[in-house]
Amino acid sequence: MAARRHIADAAMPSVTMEGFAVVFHAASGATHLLASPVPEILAAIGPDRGAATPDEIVTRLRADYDMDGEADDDVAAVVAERIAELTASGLVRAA
Amino acid sequence: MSEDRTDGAADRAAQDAAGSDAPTDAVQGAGAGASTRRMLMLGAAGASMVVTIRPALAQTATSVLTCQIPVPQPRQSGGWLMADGTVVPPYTRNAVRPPSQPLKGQEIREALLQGRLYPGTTREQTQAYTAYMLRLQNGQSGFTCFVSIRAK
Repeated sequence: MAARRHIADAAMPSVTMEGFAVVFHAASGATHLLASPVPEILAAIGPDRGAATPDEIVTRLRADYDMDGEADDDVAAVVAERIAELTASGLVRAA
Repeated sequence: MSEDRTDGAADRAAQDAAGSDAPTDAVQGAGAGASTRRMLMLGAAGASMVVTIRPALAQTATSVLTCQIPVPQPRQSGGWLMADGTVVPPYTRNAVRPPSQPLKGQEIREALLQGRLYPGTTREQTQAYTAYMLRLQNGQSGFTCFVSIRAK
């Protein structure tokens, strides 16, 4: 899993409600509530930015956000876990 | 997204969670002062961050068995059915008579999954009815019921 590249399944409309991103996934007809940092990770591998490995996703997130001194390994672990969750939901696929 | 509000809430939550952990507070304070970039809180590993709301159609376990499909739809009431499911005028050659009652979800399910005939019908009729339902489109009477049955 470490070096696999992932990409968001499609450009998905998203609205923010009560701190959650609400995403409708047309392919499955399911609606998902995403808590931070999942929407940010999803945006980092959106169709406009292309597929990325977990390490590349960490780099993209660092470029976009201040992560309060989190070590790369810790960020990568969280990213890998969130990517697995997103893949299971169908929002993200291996590229 | 209303990032500002989200970040503010996340910051407050993090500080609440930190409690008397002074060094953490100090670092966050310094970070906020030194940078205008948005803060991304990673959250706890192991906690699920995705909640999926299944399509309402797939959850309608009880209604699947009780919903009904008029064959053909009321707008074409009285029409007969060809083997491919198209609706034609009554007594058209090779067409079959439609059911006198709307088909019930349970009957449709058994016909689809087990190949059973609808009560009181011939195999030709059952197949024409199924073909008709397969051609239903969103907005036509019975479409939602049929999708629900197939989604089960």
